[in-house]
Amino acid sequence: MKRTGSIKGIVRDADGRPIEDVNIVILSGPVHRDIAAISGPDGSFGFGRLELGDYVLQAYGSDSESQVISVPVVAGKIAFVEIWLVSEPKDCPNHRNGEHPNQDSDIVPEI
Amino acid sequence: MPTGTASKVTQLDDDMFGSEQPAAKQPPISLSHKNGHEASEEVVAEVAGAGDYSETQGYETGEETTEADEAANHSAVRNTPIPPRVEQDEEASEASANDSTFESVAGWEESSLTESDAAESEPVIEAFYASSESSEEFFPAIGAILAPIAKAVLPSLAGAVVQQGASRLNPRLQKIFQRLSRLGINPALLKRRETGEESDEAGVLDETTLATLEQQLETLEVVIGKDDRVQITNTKAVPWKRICHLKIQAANGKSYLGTGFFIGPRTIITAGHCVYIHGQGGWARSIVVTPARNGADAPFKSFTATSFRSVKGWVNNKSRNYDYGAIILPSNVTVPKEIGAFGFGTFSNQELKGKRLNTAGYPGDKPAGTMWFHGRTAKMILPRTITYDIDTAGGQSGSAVWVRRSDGQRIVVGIHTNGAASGNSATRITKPVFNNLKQWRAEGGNV
Repeated sequence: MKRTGSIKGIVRDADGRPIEDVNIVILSGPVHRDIAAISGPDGSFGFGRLELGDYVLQAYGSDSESQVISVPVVAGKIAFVEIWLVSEPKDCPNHRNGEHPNQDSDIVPEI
Repeated sequence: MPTGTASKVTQLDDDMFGSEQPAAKQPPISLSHKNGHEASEEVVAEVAGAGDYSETQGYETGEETTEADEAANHSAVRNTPIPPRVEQDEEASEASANDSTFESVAGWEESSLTESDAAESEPVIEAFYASSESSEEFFPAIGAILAPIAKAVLPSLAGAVVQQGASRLNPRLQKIFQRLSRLGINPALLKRRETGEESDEAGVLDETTLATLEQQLETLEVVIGKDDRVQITNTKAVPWKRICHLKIQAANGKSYLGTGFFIGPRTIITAGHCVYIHGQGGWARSIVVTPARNGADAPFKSFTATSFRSVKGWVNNKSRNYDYGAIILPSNVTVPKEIGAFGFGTFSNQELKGKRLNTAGYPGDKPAGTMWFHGRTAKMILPRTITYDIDTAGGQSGSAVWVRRSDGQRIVVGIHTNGAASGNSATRITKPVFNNLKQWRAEGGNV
């Protein structure tokens, strides 16, 4: 019997409100079904029955897209992904490189 | 497109954690005929829509050997439609290599698909390392993914090049350098950034770290490899109008994006996991089908379906080898006759070898509702699946994988289902699949 895991998550705007109709796509990882999740009215989405391993996700909204997100799927855990998707003017002083001001900055560090 | 994002990943306990049976192993098989048992082709011809020029011709039929125990897995099953929620019970609210060809698509260049061969490897490595001083650009996302392993491995790789010279690296390290080069990654630069110093010490390159790096590279190649998909904007033309955008509502209310294609007036073929979603309640509650969708434009309108088909091998056994299904449109909706239908058929390994495979669908990484095309030859032909390097993304599950023959016929040979760094893949149309498709085509009304 092969063990599987899952990814669940929520997409929010800058004010923390859920965003509907955002495509969440698995860009790479172990062999996976090529189906895209669409966030619901509560911003939630999910991928079930995934092989264990490291996945890379990206979210695509109508006028913005997330950076790539590394998500490890491990045995016995649900990988819960919170994505803040922010449409913004490029010169917005409160944002740098598309980052939300309150983000956890350890996810996508620069080298 | 303005970009803004942040993300946070948390691991939660999963009391509902489940398991599933592994897909049956299917070793690669020889691309040669075996004692005459390989099938000659069997084809249901493409159906021209009203107003289309006729492309249909008769084809010879033949037999394809199948395993007896496959019969149960290919037994067709159908859903019992789930009573729709009131607010959801509406129509769509949103608007041999020489005898096949790629589709003719503006911007699509078959010549750009040439893969580099081994003979070119050495100069690439040398040129890459020699130019390392000049490259200062580094894609942050690459760094984000590669950072941990880069710290562990790349300085040692750079040191190995200095010590041994690129041309004397073992083949495995040479290949890693080539892949890094193609991705625009400079290990010498990384080394300086990580260590802040120049050094020619090779360090320790153990099996585990090298294997991890190779896995990371596979990931990166999928993420940032050249995207030469081409958008289809004339979606009302053949064959694009037969391709459908699917908005799937799972039984648990979650929504998904997929693709399907017409094989009959009311029959749309797609992946099994688009109609029966394991882990999300099983049979879909409903699917909104939009043929030829082009952004916000739905030239043939949309149809909501609640009648689905798949097979036991997928529904009961969750086997990737049986991942295919069908959507039967309600009999009370009028589907424009001009849409027509794809043909489909079984082909032997030898016949598929080198064939140019085409696919188009609705990837989730592109603007909403836009159709994208890509094509390549098969990478590996297995008894029940076909693997290829055609660029796909989530949302293209259920796309037709077809060959365009020299006589112009477009014949579906596979149903795209899976993505993987090692190659994307389709459920192959074998004789049992072929028979089910014919049955489902009839259930939706014959042409």
